[in-house]
Amino acid sequence: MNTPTPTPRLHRRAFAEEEDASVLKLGAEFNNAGCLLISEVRYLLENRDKDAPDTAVYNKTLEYVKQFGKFTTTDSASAVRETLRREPALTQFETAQIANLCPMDSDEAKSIIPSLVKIDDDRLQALLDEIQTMRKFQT
Amino acid sequence: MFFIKELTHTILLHPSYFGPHMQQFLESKLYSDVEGTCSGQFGYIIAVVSILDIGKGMVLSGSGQAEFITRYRAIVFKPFKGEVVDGVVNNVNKMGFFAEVGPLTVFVSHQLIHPDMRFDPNSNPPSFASDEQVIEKNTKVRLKIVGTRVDATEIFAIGTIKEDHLGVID
Amino acid sequence: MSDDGYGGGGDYDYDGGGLGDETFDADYEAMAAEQELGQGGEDQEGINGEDGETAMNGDMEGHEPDAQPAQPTTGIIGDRQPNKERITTPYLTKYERARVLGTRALQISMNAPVLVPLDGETDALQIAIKELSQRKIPLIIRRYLPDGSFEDWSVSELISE
Repeated sequence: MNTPTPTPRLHRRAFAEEEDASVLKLGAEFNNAGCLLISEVRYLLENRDKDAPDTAVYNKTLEYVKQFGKFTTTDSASAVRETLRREPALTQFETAQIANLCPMDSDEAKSIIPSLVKIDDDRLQALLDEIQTMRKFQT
Repeated sequence: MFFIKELTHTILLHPSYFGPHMQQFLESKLYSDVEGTCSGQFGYIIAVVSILDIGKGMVLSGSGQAEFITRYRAIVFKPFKGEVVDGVVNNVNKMGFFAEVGPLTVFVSHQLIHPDMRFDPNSNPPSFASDEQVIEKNTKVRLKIVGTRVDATEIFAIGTIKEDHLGVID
Repeated sequence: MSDDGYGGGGDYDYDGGGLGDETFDADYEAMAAEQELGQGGEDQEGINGEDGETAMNGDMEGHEPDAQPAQPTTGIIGDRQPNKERITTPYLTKYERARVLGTRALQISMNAPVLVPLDGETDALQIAIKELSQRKIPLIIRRYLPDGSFEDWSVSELISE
């Protein structure tokens, strides 16, 4: 009687463990998908060539990205991307998280993005400092 | 997290729409069909960025309708367990508070709020407050998503601010 | 019932399709043009009918007649392309004729724009027959061969007399 139960339970557990951002498991559909910075979403939404759809989802998102986009110009956003690209160990997801959350120091970064433990403290700190500078001096 | 993703959508076109304006019709139908929808697999589809291929019409013999399988690129938003996000508080009650992260609503239970912060039933608007910090409507908070639940048309998430570097941000 | 929708005489006002008298000719041209594109490009939608040879598959259901003038975009039907060299008969087989007329008549009965000037015809099948005789049926036949590959033939290029 015991034999039939383990299989479905295993299946369910495997499914539940499928997605966990802290260990970079985003599920089959998103593991290799391109992540967008909030600032990039803002640029894309504000520069659409057609009329904005009047959906609650769209309007809430637009409001959100206006409020939380850290980089107001496309130049600064792409400069951040460029900076983070220099660190080859960073995945798309981590890149976007760092740019969206702008942690001040490596300690904070590793706490809110746990998968960053693989990066050396000093190198991470240098990246974060650079991003902070860019954020401060964007026009 | 926002993603840019290639997706497909199948449109059934009634014969009365056949004709020179068919393509515009298909495009606007695609926009109205998918923008603002939500699925467990892809999360919220916020906006179509570009249409890659409207598809070839395949006539369904029984109904006379044509089936177009369109490919398009869209901005999608999907929350993940373990992800840290910023949000805006939009409702506070004694059970905890609700924060909006774009289209997503995240509930933060009082058990997942630092014990120093207490619900203040006498404040107006209602708030959670400690000596230094106040969480009320329109406060910006940084929270970590600890779980998601997928409905037919919505995703709900549970968050926590009871960890280092989470909580009120300015 | 469907007959009521069709204006008698020579006026082609199918309001259901959003086409008025004036626009009709233009639309008609445009559609014909699109059809040309469809034929020129390698992406065709076709009716995949069964032709004399392929009918031996006996697999009528698997073959869907495809639709309307396509856009010359890259196709989605997997990445499968029609065979470069077409070897099946250039004649419209009686099976294909039946299927094409049936499908087209059904579409016309559902208010699809008619591509020929009418002369009082009100029956959808009669109109479809007229379209076929004037080679104006905007469908493409996809003929599957026994090995699973296929050829696309526009109805307008098949010999139907």
